[in-house]
Amino acid sequence: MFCLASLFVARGQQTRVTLAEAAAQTAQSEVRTLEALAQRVRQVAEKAPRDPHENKSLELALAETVATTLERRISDAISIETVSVTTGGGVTRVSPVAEMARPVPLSGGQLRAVSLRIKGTYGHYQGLRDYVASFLSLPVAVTSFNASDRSFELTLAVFGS
Amino acid sequence: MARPPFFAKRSMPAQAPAEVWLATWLTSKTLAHWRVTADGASGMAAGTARVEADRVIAFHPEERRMASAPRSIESAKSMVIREGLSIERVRVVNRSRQDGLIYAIPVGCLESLIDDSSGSASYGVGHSVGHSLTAPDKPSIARIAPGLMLVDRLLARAGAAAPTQSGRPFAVLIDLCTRADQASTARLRRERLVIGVVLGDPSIQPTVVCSVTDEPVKDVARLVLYEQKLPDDAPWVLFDAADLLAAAPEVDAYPAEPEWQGVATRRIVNATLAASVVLAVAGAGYAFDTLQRIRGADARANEARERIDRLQGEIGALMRSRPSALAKELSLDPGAMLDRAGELWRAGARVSVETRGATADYTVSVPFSQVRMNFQNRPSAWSVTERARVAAVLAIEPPSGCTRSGLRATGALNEVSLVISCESPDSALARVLPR
Repeated sequence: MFCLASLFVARGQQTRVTLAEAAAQTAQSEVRTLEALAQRVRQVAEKAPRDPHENKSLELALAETVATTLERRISDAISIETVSVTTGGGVTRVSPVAEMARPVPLSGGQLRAVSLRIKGTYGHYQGLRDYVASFLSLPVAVTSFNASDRSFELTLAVFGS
Repeated sequence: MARPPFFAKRSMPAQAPAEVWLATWLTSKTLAHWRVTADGASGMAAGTARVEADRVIAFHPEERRMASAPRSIESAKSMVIREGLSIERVRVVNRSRQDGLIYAIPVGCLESLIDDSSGSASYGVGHSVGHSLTAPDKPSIARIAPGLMLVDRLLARAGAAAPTQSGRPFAVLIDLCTRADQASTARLRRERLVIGVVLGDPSIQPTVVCSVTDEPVKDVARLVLYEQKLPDDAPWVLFDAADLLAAAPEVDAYPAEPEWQGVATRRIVNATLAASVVLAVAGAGYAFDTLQRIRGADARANEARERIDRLQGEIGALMRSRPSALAKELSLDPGAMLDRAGELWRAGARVSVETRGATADYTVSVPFSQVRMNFQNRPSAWSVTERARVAAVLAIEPPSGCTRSGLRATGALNEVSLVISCESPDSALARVLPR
């Protein structure tokens, strides 16, 4: 009985050791990933000039993006069918921007993002190219891009504090 | 009885002890201890044998002797119980392999032979020898040896002189004159310790009669034979103190404590306890080692978590200070995609682009014929087969870092297409894209 009890306890202890060591290894692996990421972010930050959108609120960044979307239509021969937020309660429902936002992973909650989808048609190739390039001056990342015949679909991630 | 006794051969071996201790259960129902030397037997006080003797050869009415094929100690014990020779736990001297005999005695009888507090008494013949209960050279109590084995050894030493092979019951007498006789000149009659044992009928146990008497030996022999309802002319053999001293070393003793398979249970218990202690110490060592390993792993995990928190804080601050630069780093490059689509375009073909995560699929399609419609929107006979244009699309080589699919066609075979898939280099920053 004593031996059996000892074996049972030893097995339980071994499981605890295995779990603890697995947790430590996972955490250390995450540290290595984050160190690589931090290095990359540092490089990006060092190369970039002073950002006029530093600490800009998400609401303001979103408003500027939507304004740009609409302002460039005529000059770039773009026809917009829909502009919608992909993370919201619906096209017609009014929601706070904060509810539409998603925290940017690994930013420690300091940065948020809203996903915006633009559907439309374009008149000519250069117009579409210029229209897409107009977003590069904003804190916006193009996360998906489809173009077929004369129609296009663009998904943007708008960043802000 | 005029028949002369058989006399055993007298030969004193060199290793014969100077003295032998006996315990006898007398006809008066009292237990007596004796110290036997070449001069005879001396009655000893109760408890003397316990502290002075190494071994006491006991003649006890409950002792059993049986013939047996070679068998183990445990099997011998079982046989004694099975044969109904004892209803108590017994200890045995197992001579089944050497002599084909087993000697057994109930544990309770064994203890009473040793324990001087069990009511045993010394027979008051002769003088009691003084003794010290704290004798430093005799710390352990005496071990009991079977008296019936002594009888068998005496007969074996007698060899052909003993009536063992006659097939008839016979008596063995051990005649030991007492020291009291020799010390006292006032007594006219010689008083002796006579141990009589009747053997020979395998169906009955040997009968032991121990008495202190001044009767002639032949009268004692007659008495012993009479008590077993044997005829007066039954053979008997006589041994004396010298014979006893010579044969005594050949008598094995009963185990002094309970045994299992020939090993004292106390040693088994001690070994088990020792093993348990070793196991407990090893278990404690293992537990300590395990605890240290868990603590070490927890410490590493906590250190890593603190580092993760610091890195996340640093990354978050950098992201917040350079949101546009971060967005550009994360962004797909639609301009480059459109440029690549232009490179893949061929005359008469259409190019579409679709992204799947970091992969961009460029689909280049070309019709088999340049359809011209006539009246009611039907294909015209003037439709031109675009063989050269289809060949040009088929000849498209994928740019570096891209792969090309096989040719695809619609079910009506009016258009063919192929897909060029180009994957963006995997960025470490892809993880920060919001899901």
